[in-house]
Amino acid sequence: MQTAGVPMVLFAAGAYRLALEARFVTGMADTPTAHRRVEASALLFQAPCSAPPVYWLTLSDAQGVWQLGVHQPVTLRSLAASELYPLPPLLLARRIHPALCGIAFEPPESRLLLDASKLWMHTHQGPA
Amino acid sequence: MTVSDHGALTLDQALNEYDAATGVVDVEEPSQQLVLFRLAGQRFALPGSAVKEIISHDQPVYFVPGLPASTEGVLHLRGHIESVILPHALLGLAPPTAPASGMILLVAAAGIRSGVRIEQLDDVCDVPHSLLKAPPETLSESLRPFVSALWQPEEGAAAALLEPEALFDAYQQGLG
Repeated sequence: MQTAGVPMVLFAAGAYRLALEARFVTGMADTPTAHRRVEASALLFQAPCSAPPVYWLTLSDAQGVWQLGVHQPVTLRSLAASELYPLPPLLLARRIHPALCGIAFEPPESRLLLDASKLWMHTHQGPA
Repeated sequence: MTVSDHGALTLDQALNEYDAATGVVDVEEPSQQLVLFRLAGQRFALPGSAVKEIISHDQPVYFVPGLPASTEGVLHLRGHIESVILPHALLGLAPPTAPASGMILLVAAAGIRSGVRIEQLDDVCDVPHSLLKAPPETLSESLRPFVSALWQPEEGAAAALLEPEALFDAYQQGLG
């Protein structure tokens, strides 16, 4: 039986591997253009990455368009639903950023799953 | 009982003298299974009913960024994902100096299941309730909310029996 998949945009933020649901990503550019923009490392881990973002993913919310600075590789791939796990309750309670919602295993590594709808709402940061 | 002139018994007499009840321990005394382990060199215990599994130290734990230092990460166990926490900070103990290398206790309490990294597994044993004593007044402030009883074995230091519900609740509240 074929497992259903979720189209995801896979990217890196510093040393960490992340994924966003592809339907929330409307574009990608190598230079930032939106007034609202933020680096993924600073947003998610409160730790600005030493290297500047290589790409800027374009997302939108009720306030309009904004951009998320990420590192390569950036790829579009469908991840099997059976391989996506919600974050366990103790970690949900203690996560720094509410967008961190799950994890996928790609042994020997893992990939953090992000809820795109909660990414910007947590930050009060101005333009990067 | 008839004793011969030399004070000896016959075999029949000896066998008839056997009292089946002699030396039998009262097995009806209520007891509790404890999983005994060490953290920062101190002895602790968790109720056996709460420890669902003892996981080998070589089970891979995946680091998850964006969480406090008391979170070691997650493990992928037979198609399930479990958090792994380090209880040291919660219990006011010194943080481990070396990378985690002890076993992981998979603990279920208050509707939550999580791995708890320990430094050394000592024993799994049944302890009569009568041997579990109330925590002393001298117990540290940091341990007091989490210790329900103290057990002093015949040998070695006393073990503090932890309440897993209190541990998980405090962790969720942002302590540790």
